[in-house]
Amino acid sequence: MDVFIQILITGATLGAMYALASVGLSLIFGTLGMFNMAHGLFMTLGAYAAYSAASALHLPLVLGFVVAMAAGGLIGVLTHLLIVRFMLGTPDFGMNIMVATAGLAIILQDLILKTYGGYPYPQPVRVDGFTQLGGVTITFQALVNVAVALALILGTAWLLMKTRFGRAIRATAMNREAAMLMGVKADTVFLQVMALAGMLAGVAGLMISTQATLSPQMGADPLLKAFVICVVAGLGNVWGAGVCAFGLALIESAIGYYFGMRFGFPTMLMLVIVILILRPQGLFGREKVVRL
Amino acid sequence: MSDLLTCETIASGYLNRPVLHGVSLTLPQSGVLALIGPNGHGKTTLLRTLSGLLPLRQGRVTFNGADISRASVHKRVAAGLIHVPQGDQLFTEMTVEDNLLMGAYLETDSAVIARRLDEVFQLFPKLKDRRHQTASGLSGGERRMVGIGRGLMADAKLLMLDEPSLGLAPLVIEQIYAALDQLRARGKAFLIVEENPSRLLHFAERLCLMDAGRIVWQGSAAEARASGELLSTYLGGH
Repeated sequence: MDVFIQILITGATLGAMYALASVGLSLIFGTLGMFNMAHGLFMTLGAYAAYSAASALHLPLVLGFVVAMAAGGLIGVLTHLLIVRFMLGTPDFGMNIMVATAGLAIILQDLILKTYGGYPYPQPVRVDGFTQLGGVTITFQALVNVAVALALILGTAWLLMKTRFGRAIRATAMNREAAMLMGVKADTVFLQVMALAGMLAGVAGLMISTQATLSPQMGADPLLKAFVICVVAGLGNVWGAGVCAFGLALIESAIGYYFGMRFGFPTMLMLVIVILILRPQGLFGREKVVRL
Repeated sequence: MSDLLTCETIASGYLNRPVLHGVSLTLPQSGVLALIGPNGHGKTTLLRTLSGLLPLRQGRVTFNGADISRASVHKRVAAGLIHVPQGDQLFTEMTVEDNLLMGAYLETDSAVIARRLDEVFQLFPKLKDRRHQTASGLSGGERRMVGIGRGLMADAKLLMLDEPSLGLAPLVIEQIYAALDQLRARGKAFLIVEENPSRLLHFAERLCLMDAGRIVWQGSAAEARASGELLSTYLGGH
């Protein structure tokens, strides 16, 4: 029983982070048709922004969270205004924007390295304390991470499914031209999606740094996993990405427990290969969503 | 300015491929103008230019007294110039109702939206039964109804329909045109594009014949019917 709880807790904590990272990535892919290679750095920036806010300005915890979210949203908006906007609709957009955002990621990572140095810091924006469930120790930080991630994902789902704003995003994702013919300003929707995804990434970064440490390359691993999750879920399927994030995280933590952490990710990748052979469009995907 | 829509020698097209070469036409405040002609001669391009999806290269477009030559797509929609594109272009993974609600995207008064939704359901009762179904599961005729209904949900002063009979069975085409006739009786203005003009010869008040990016003939439907030579030359003897 303790083992089961341990796996469940680890899986849920990992899943919360993966879900926040991949929901944003999936939202961007579904709406703009682009792989955001800088998504990992959106997370890193969120984490460092919270660190700076807490250590330099001595802001309370909740504000650290808000700062991470704002920093992620801001970099999302800037990426759209300074890069994506000018490339949308050009030939080979999908490939070119991948290279462009990968370049942005390198620049941002070097800027962070230059500003903060390569030394890993502990994240000061954190919740201390733990509780016991059976023989398992559960940190309050893990509980807070899971709760916040769930709240943000459900909030995003509500926004997308139940509001006029979300309906416009979904319409633009399904058929950009038709949405424009309804009076939707596609440019504005793209900007909003980049802001929203950036905000989720910023929070994801903060969470990741509470579980490990801050370092300039901390976004690389979650970005890779978020990509894997989006592909398994079906590219652009936001809801599926959330579900797959928790599913794959549970599997990773179970494998990690029984065979050692280093087998977690390779097993996940094996599983992905099998899934993609059986269902090339992803678990929740429709064939037409895949545009590569 | 009593005309609803005026195009003055407009030119437009795609990258490195001009399609329209100086098209001029005028639409009155109500009634049906038919734009006919063979495929690939600029009918759809004209509609896309009028709705703002394609930029205007030359000429001037006036709608309801205002110059909209450089206006963005959403400004034209807000002004009541509504383009129902070819092949419906529905939001396939949304429900019928959400599709229709997207049509009223620029309207924020929920009472007005509810009233318009009701009107669409009265016009196409089938859609009311299917309101919670996903659009991808509909038949071709139902999809067309959603497409037109979505256009009606905006406060359309002019509905531009691109081939409303495309790909439908004759009986379904009858239903669609019966609905259009009801709307016409309520004073709505239409610009209808069809490749096959036989129906529009009797449905429209005026016809424009388009060939190679130009309007080569325009006149009343009666004149078009009387002109046997015109019909056999361009329309294959209908």
